[in-house]
Amino acid sequence: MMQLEVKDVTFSYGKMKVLDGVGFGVGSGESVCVLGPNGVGKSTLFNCVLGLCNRQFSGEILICGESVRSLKPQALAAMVAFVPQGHAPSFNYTVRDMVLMGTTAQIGGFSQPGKVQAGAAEAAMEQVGITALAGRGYTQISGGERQLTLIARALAQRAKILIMDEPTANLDFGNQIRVLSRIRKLAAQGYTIVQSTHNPAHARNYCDKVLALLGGRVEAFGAAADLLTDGLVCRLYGLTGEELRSYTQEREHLQ
Amino acid sequence: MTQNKRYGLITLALFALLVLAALVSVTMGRFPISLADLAAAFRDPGSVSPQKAAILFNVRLPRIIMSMLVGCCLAAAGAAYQGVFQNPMAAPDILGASSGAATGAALAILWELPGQMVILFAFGFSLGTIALVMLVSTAVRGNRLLGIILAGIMLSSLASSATSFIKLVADPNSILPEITYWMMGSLAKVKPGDVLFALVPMAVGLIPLLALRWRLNLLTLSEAEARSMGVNVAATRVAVIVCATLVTAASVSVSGLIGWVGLVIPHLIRRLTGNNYRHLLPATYIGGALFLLLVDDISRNLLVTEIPIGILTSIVGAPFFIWLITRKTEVA
Repeated sequence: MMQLEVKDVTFSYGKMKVLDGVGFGVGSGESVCVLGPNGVGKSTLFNCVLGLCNRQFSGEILICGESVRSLKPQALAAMVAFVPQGHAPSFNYTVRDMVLMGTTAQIGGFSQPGKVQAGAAEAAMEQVGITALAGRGYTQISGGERQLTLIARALAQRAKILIMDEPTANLDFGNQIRVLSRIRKLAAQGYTIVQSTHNPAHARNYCDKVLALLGGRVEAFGAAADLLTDGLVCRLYGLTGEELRSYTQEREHLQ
Repeated sequence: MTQNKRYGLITLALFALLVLAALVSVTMGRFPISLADLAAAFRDPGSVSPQKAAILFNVRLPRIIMSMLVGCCLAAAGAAYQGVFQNPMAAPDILGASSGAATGAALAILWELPGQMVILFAFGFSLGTIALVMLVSTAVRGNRLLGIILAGIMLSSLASSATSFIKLVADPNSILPEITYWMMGSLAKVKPGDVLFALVPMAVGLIPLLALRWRLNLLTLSEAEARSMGVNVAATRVAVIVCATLVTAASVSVSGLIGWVGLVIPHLIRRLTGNNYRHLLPATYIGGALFLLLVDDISRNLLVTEIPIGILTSIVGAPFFIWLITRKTEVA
């Protein structure tokens, strides 16, 4: 059974269609990269999958066969975890507390996380290698460390599907590679991963499948190795062949 | 776990200080009452002089208990609003609970209603204002939090204008001074019945707030994050706002406008326990109670005539807050 199935999803802001009949399916342990120009509806698509706009989209989204509209927040959280872009919250929490927040869906509304949840948080921090940061303030660590903290938080949530919104945005070159290889390891461990990115090279090197969105529609969906041609990249980002070639030549020069 | 233990100890230490301060406060005042009197009066009210018992049970104890309750509530409401609005500068009056209470009290005083009715009017107007804020905010398009805050600013200012108008038409010789004095905030007229009246809404607000404190952490994150971690954001947010409003309204209606507690105390406690509401909120409850108890002791003992406590909290709170925010150390 598909872990995540998006069927004919259409979403409009007023008269403008942001998503127009988007459909695709992601199987267990697959890693999918969502590509597309700015404003193509990647975040909107994620919001729909996360149950944030249940009433605003038409079509159907199934999580492990269950409609996202029929799932209560707590039940959805047990299946799907969200990794936002590394941000600065209004209040500074320790990395440990931040990760522990991922366990909220496992406890009652009026309860505090206990020993089991604390253990899950410690295990999640160890899994992404940030145990040494546990006592530090989340706003005082680097962007890469924040991103890893948010990934650990998603792991502590114990959901099998991870939705990641540009996990490498605003990271330096080294941190991009560190975060991406950590995500690839998670896919190898059986997590289903859907992440958005602005770098086609990331999709080629770190994902099994590519979902290319253009004008609110699915431009292409399939194996990254087959799909990611120069032609597709040019179409997606409105580049001429010349522009793309000059970029890749410079990059080869760098390597 | 050692960290949790440390925060537990801080809360315990604050509680011990509060008990100590409460006992010392009983002995403070123009009429001498010793701790031995206190013990004797509780064991057998007939064993102390009737005058002593009357002052202890009708004046001093209600006032001490009320100062602790009001301090606890204002600090708790401040901390809760700060979390819900993701803004460390939020205070209990952010949505207009205080302005609404002031309008209600001013109206009751204008109509020369008895003291109980002044409290009831203040309480009712305060809750009514927030109910209107929440109603108006549902019609605001876009960001829900921003809508609540904008509606709060609007209705708060409307309530203030209404209060000004009431002051304008009030008799400047008898009614106006009374309204002005009410707005300065005071615990001087607290009666035993007031404590019982305020205790119910206070408990109804404080207890669920304490139970929800872990989820309060998640409300400080973005809506998408909190929801994706299994929190029903809209419902939790409304629950916290209702609780915080209830305790604010109950406090303001019996004590008048007492500023700064709701801003200063949560900030001070954040320095001690960090921002995790799990530890922050219980310590804030106790810290607020301790602070207002001490300030009220000053208010009733420093000069021969009583200084309104609302003035004192500003005089004490403002410099203290500046010291707090200019200190170099950051909480982890």
